[in-house]
Amino acid sequence: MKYPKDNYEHPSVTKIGGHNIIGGLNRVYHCNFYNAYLQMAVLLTRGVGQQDPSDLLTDSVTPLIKILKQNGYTNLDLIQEFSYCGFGILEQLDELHWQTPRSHYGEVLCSHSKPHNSCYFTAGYIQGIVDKKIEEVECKLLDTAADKFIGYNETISLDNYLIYDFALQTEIPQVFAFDGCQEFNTQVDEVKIISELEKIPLCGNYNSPATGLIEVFNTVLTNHFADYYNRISYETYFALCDAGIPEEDSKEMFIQAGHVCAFNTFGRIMCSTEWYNLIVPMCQNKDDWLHGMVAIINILGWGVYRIEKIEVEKELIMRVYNSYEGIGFRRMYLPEKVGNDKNTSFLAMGAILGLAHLLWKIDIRDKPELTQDFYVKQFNNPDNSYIIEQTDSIITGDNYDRFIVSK
Amino acid sequence: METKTRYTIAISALFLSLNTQRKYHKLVKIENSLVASKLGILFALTTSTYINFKGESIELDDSQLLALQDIFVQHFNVNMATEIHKLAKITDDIEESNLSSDSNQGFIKKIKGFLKIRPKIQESPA
Repeated sequence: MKYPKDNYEHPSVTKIGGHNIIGGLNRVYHCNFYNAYLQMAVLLTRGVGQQDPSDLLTDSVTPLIKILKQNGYTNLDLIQEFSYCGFGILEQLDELHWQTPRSHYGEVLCSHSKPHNSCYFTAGYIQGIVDKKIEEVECKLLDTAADKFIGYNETISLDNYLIYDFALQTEIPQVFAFDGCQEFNTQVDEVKIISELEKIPLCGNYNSPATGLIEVFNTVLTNHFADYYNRISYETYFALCDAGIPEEDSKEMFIQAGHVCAFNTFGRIMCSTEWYNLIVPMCQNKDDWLHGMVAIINILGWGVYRIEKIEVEKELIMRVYNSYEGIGFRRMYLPEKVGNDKNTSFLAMGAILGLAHLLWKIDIRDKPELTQDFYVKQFNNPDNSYIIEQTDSIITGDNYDRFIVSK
Repeated sequence: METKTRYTIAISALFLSLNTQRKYHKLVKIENSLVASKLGILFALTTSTYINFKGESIELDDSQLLALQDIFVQHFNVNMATEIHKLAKITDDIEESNLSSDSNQGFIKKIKGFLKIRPKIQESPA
């Protein structure tokens, strides 16, 4: 049987505090650039201590599937939602064999190393469905017709890692309506932008030929589990710290993943027809482009982004209420785990810095071709590059995350 | 006392050579800051010695040269053995007892990172 079926009813999405909750779990849109870089960062830790990064990438999703099942999901729901969320098309061949003829991780993931089996996430997803150990045995990245998975008659038991209650912030100020916010004069209407964008179906393609991929803005998105990202990021970060890697190098790997994501995906959005039709007519200057992109970020499930200050080409200050990293961290760990270190919302740091670079290092309004060569050329030249600092952090007990981009 | 031959490699030449090799093999180029972060991490995990790849140059011994070659194969998908041997210049032989893992401290940083680093202030006891 092929999935998704034509009569598949999309899951209900509860939008609350900047989070997009499906089946009780926050989902966040991310692109193939981010997924690739993050997976690469995690795989660096192969051979470090007791940690096997392949297991981490696989097993971190399995408890989340278990939560969905506890919340009433059937196996069919899970198979169909795999496609809805842009992971591809998941098919069960027999009791022990599965395949994904189309898949995000098997097709659009890019990496610097030799191509290898890369569908760890999919294997972990299937593990959650069948409660058995699953291994990927063929991957489309190695030019096979499908990613293939085999199950073992070995029941697995993976504990839920979301072990602490931590509620979402409910008092989130409206745009520009908070103490300390600069007075902005802009025609950019975030409410209108969000309302219009919600009409665009950001879900896997079911039309023939169905791909189960979310291909928009010349990039490929997934509607992923925020907790999966958090688990693999922070476990890897702590493993690197435990191995004695200097904090700067460890953090930069994750910040760079967010930066690449912002540069490529935000950049492509800001060159898209949709952007020019909806947002550009509201824009007079670069500040407005920042406001417009922040409005779009606020539909991604990443929390609520609020610009506090813009001093053009000098400083950008951003607050993030309910940042998915901050909230997710507090549901997995105690704040003491990072001491008083504020610089720990890595994705947000990279994304905000990337956004500033799109307008202040290059000028995305000129519609440059966003190739890897272009990226390398820009960022091998330190001129006009910016740096980022996180001054407030939900992880350490602040009400929001706050970031300063400066030179 | 046992001595080890040490080699100095200019970082800019090493990274340029890496991307030349990658381009030759039809692989995408990688920006210097990411190469430096990856190498710093991978080299430390492989050899238990941290070297800052964001400086002007690095100093390695024979076994560390081999480790570096292996990292390029495994994590950057290119064989850099020939290039590394061309780039590695023998520096003074130094006594093993003087080998230091932080030998690159004091070099001017050439590769700008993304993170604003503040000097750590030691907390005073209450």
